[in-house]
Amino acid sequence: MNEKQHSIIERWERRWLGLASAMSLVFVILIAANLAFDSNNVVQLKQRANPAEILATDIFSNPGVIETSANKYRVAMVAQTFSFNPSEVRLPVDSEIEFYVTSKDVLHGFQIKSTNTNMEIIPGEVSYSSYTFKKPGEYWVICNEYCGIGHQNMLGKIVVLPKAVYAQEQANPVAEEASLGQSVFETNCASCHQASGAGLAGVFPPLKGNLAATSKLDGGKDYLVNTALFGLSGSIKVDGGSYNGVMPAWTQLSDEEISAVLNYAISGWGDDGVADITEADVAAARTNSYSSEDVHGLRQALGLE
Amino acid sequence: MSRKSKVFTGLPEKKLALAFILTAFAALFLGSNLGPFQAFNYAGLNIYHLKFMPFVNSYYQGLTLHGVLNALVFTTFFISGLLWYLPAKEMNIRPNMTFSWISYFVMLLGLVMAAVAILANTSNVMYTFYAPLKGHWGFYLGLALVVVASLMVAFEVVRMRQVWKKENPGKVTPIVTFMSVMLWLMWAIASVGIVVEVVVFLIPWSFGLLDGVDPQITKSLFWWTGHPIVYFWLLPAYVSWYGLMPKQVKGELASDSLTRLVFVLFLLFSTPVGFHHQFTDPGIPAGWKMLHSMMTMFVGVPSLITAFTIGASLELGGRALGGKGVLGWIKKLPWNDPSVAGQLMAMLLFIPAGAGGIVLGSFNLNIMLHNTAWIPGHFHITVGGAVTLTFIAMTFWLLPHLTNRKLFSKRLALGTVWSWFIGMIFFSTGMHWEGLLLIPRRAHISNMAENLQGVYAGAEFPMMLTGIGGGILWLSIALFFTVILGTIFLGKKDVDVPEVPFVDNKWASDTGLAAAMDKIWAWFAVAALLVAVVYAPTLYELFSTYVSIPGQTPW
Ligand code: HEM
Ligand SMILES: [Cu+2]
Ligand SMILES: [Cu+2]
Repeated sequence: MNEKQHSIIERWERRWLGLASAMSLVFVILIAANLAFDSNNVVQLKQRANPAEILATDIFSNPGVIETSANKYRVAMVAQTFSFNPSEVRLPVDSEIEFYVTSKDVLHGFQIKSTNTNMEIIPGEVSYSSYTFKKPGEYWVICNEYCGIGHQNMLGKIVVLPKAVYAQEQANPVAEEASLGQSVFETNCASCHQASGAGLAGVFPPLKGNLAATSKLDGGKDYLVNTALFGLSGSIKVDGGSYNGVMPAWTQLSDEEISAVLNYAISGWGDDGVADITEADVAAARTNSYSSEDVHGLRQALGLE
Repeated sequence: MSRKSKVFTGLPEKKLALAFILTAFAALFLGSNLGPFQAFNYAGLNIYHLKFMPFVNSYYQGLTLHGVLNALVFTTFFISGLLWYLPAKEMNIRPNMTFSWISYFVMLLGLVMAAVAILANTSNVMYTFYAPLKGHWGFYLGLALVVVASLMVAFEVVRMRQVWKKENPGKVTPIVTFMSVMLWLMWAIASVGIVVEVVVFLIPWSFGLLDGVDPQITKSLFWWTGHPIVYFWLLPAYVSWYGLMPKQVKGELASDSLTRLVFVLFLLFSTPVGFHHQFTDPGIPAGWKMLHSMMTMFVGVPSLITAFTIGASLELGGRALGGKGVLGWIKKLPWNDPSVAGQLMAMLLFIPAGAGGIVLGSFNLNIMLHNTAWIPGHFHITVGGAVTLTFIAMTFWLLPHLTNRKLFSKRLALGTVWSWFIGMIFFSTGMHWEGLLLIPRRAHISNMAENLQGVYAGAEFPMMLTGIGGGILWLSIALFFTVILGTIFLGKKDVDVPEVPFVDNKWASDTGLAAAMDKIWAWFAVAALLVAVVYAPTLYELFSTYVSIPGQTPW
């Protein structure tokens, strides 16, 4: 390269540098302008505190949908491994929906399919954004932040209804059909063990048939109560399949809820287990305070692999 | 004395550089072989439950291994070897070999600790290890050792440059060394975040000394390092493109001062942009996110300059080789040299990659794509494409240079770079597209619960592209390791041993702009100040509302 070529290159270099800077500036302006006109989906922090404190607030002590003013609704959801609570909400179309979401345990995501809502859910913080659904239909809520072994199954659902249908549903609520046991199961357990109790190969063991059999063993029911309360970790075998996942502890559920959900899983799906666990059994077991590894030991003591 | 050790007695640097680079490739071998399984997952094929997978209990354990070994370990080892060896060679200064070997062994110890912890299924926390997911202390300590060892290398390179400056008063640092030093200084500022995160919070926590940690704070500290780490990966490829490639194509460096300016800009602007990974985090105020988004747009500028300068440098080569016309020179470039061809393809991959990066850096657009499959689509044409392909291609001269053995097979080497290039195009197109359909990243979607079947229906075509890409990349890995092992064990000795292709830098000057940019400590101070300004207020706010969250191991 000679002097002349060099100076030509330098001249174009300066032009290119100017062009590149101008382009970046245009991008910045476009981003700012877009956000100035439409920033409903930008996440806001509503609270930063200890999770226990957050979960005790009015908003989260009974999560779900509330109409806060005319045509404006507040949806509160609690994310936990591996489900949203509530796992399904029903909302009217063309109404402003405010989402308040927090986490009980680890980081989760909250992305509503076919919309621009996408928030990170962090324990100790309440995420907020708002959205107005323009079309009735079913919208999946995807947990898009890795949260553990069942992460791919952590989805919730939003059913958006035409206003008239929504109003009618509100006026004549369908009687709660499900028993307590079944509803606790579907909110907390089904994301891993499946609503049918069939489990997921390699990770989450089936409960159908399995718990009925365990309930008949000597000490089997105590073991089940301890598992539900304190979780279970370590590799196990059920019906010839091996499972190596981790079940979280559920001490946050009440004695009533735990006994109901266990009885449901022992005798649900047409099984013939001994479903007579009482609230007192759960209350008594609570004082054990086992670790999930201890529970694995209890399992082996029963002669189960 | 055997022939091999004779090679190394003259040049002990070669032996250590080789150790760094071969360890890097060992990590890449393990890590990248998991990639196709993941690609098949994103094609809807679940191979994990078939028990085909030795070592791995779950998709997520495998993915943690893949991310850590490829993105953290392979890159750090390769870069530490390369950007320690090249400056020493260019300045002709003997490094402190004892200190340098210690840094290698510290890094190796870190690698082993982290790998064992992951293989034992104790730390399925991904390479981002967001608390309160809680890994084994061996995992955190291992990663900390890898980072500390890389800082030891940084120290040694900067020290060598100081020695050179004393011996050459009034001269500016030679170009490849200058680029390397800028990278190491950038890394010194960048790594503060992860070092604080791991040493102050995660290690004590994993030893049981802390009950919990603050997830928003640890995540922010992670991304303090997590964005500039991508420049830590990318700039070594730029070093090759600016400092070596032009020589390989019989060209020359088109502009010395602009090259230096680019690296000064990277030192200044790589780090203060980390919030662009946290646009959807509630705990970071929107105003600061907007500022980081702006800075991200401007950190695109040095890469755009790079496209110009390198384009011009290559064009000078293509014309010297007889190329005519506006684009004719491209054809004349030595495409039959696998080292050149691979790097040219790496540059091509970086064009859509850079554009995709600007999309992700835009606050508003990012919200649509955060944590979707678009993200792995993006970083497989950046770090997995442009960077890794450049490293692979460089290896085709570097390995013969370091071992005194001829490259095993030029055809297989060409096959490697072409299949990597084509495989990444398929793979990454599929993943970007799946991301637009809001399929999440890091998800074992081929093993969904029965009541969720069909959630991601409608993505069959991009899923197929992803799967095909994974298959082609598998072939590429096999070819590459055949070439490496073939060269080491079967390569002809002492034939055609290439020298380091340092660029002709005719337009270098010891005064003016180049001299101003050689005041590296002033730039370092400005860079540190910038980071403090954009991070301090938010971190202060977060620390004053500290929440302690206990650890979880949900795997
Ligand atoms: C050999 C070809 C490769 C294939 C087929 C491949 C495939 C994949 C796939 C499908 C994912 C996404 C998984 C998910 O989000 O669930 C992934 C993640 C990842 N890959 Fe690769 N990969 C390859 C090579 C590489 C290389 C060379 C690097 C870096 C040097 C790399 C770095 C990463 C990282 C950092 C992640 C993210 C892990 C995480 O989300 O925690 N990969 N890879
Ligand atoms: Cu999740
Ligand atoms: Cu970034």
